[in-house]
Amino acid sequence: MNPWNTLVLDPMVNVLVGLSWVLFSNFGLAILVFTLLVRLVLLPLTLRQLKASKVMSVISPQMKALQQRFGKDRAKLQQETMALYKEHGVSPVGCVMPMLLQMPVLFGLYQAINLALAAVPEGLMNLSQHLYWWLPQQLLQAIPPQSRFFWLDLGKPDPFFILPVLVGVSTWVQSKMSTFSTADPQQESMNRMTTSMMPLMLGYTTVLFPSGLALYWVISNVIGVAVQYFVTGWGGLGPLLQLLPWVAKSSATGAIDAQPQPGSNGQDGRRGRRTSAPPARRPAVRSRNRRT
Amino acid sequence: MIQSPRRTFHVQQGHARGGLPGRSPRGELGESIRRTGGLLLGALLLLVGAACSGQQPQGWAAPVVGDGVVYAASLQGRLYALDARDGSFRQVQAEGQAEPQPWSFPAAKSTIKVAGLYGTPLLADGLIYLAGYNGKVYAIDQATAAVQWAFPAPENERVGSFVGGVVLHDETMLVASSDGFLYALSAGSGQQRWRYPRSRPLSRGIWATPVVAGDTAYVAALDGSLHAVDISTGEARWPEPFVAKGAIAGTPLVAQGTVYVGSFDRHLYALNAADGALRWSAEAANWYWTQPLLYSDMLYAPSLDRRLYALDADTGEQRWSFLADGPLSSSPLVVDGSLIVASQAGSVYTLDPITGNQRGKFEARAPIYGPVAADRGVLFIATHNGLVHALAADGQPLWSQKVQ
Repeated sequence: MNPWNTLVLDPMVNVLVGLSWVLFSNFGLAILVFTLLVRLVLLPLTLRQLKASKVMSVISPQMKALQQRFGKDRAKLQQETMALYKEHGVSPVGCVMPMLLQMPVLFGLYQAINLALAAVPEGLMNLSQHLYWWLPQQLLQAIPPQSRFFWLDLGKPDPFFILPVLVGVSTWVQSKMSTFSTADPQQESMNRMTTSMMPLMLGYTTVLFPSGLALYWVISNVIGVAVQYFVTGWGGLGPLLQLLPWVAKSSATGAIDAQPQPGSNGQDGRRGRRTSAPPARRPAVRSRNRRT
Repeated sequence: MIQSPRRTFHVQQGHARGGLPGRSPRGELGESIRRTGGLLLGALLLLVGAACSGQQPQGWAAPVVGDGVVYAASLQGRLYALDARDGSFRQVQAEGQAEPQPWSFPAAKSTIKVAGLYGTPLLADGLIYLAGYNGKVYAIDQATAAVQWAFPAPENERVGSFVGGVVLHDETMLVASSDGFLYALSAGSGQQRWRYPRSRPLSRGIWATPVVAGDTAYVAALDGSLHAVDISTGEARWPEPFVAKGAIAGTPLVAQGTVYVGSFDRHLYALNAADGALRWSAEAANWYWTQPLLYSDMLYAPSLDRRLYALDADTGEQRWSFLADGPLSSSPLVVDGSLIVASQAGSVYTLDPITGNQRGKFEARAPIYGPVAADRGVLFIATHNGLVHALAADGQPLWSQKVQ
């Protein structure tokens, strides 16, 4: 018995087949609803990860200040940094851990869609080994899945390249929203790589994917963008939105403001503001320094 | 230096979790980000790999034997001719070629891409008829591998992918497509005579090979319906098609006035061939995918639940069942009084047809999806790693050949 199949893949595949039957054997709708459900279940982890990332980006200038101040005293630097983390209720692993916990589920979801699509006869043969024997007979009517969904044959790549473009664009938007300008050159370089390479790679590979998988990717990205917006705002996308004439116009009336605001804590996501991070909180550092 | 114990604890915790002693916080964060990025990229590569694997049609066509030659399909959708005695490649020298080349269709430099062969090719009158996953049917010269005709004829025209094979009735060839139509073609020219249904295709398409009994063709579809069609006119013979609660991908068996067909709804159905009325049904724990076998009033039905069921052909009552080491999608056959069945785990079993007791076993060590062929007491098996095996009826291996 394969634990991955038993715990992750098989339950997802069976739910997906069941959903497909409930949704009039429309597999495109099943992908849509199932992706929404899984993302909903993962929402607490997603929120925790986004909030931690946001705080980490906010305290980045303070960390830089600490680096400049205690650069030579590594033990002290560690100590002060951890104190800063504690003060803001975050840790470096706080950003990564929720993501790590989500990844197996998202990977399972992706695999389940891939399996249930059964794009080729071998795939359908394989699907039979992942369905529960007690699955009601009626649900088996949803197999093989109806592959037509709007202009798409979900088992084949999109002939008009609409989905690959949507995948690329939505990935870029999400990456851009989740990156913040930082003083750290390593992080900046990583950000650049993520925002440019990921959309290109994904967009290109979706040209080869069955469009059912591309559909999942677009839905997942749209949900990701929505959640990201409500937690961190437009993020790195804010300054670019300013370039759009109608956005710039509304910005003048206060809808989106890319300029630093007096008293701002660095960013105000809801309004799409992306401002410079606040200066390091010197008094706090000083007071700790005095104790040493 | 004054440190509170609590503060010290946090520093150590930081080391234990993510940082190495002596590493700067910025480095720690950078490291964390790099790791995250690496993980994301790794996950992306995994996803791409997972998506690309298992999405290519490879085919599981059974070998077909005629005049001492075994025609076997590779996983790349190419048909090769092997000598039935030792598995060596048959050579053919085309006009203008200095050296003889292995017989293959499509030829090595051909622009034809069959994409995958699932249905068993058919040998008749010096020709090989085959239906490819690329949505084309070909008639090929057995001696030279030259294409005699193709359906549809225009090079760039295709119908839906073919998963089932072709059958011949007099001068009419029948083949069903995943576009939901059963096509009747002229065996001599490949020209379409009729198609069934005439207007709207059967939803979800057809993967099963049609079966001919008398002047009626029986064709099962992925929407769970089974149709009887007049071969001369292309009109339905039954007032209503039989409809199962699950898809039908397996070829029906017609014998003694009964149509036996298995479905994804885990049932094997016995129907009156004249009007499609249900006689009995038998349930398994997983789908029935392949054609059952009738032998001495016993029906042998393999299922993807890994069991071969021996049923009374009249009543459907189970006499015995044999548990294999993998799902069964290969049609059984009887050779020299032994019942042969192959599993997706790569085992070929020799059983007593009366009791179901195992007489022998050959382990091919690669999945066997398609039917096993037999000729003069020798079994020919194509495994899903591109190998063709020849076995004696008692399971002793004779030769193996790689086709690709």
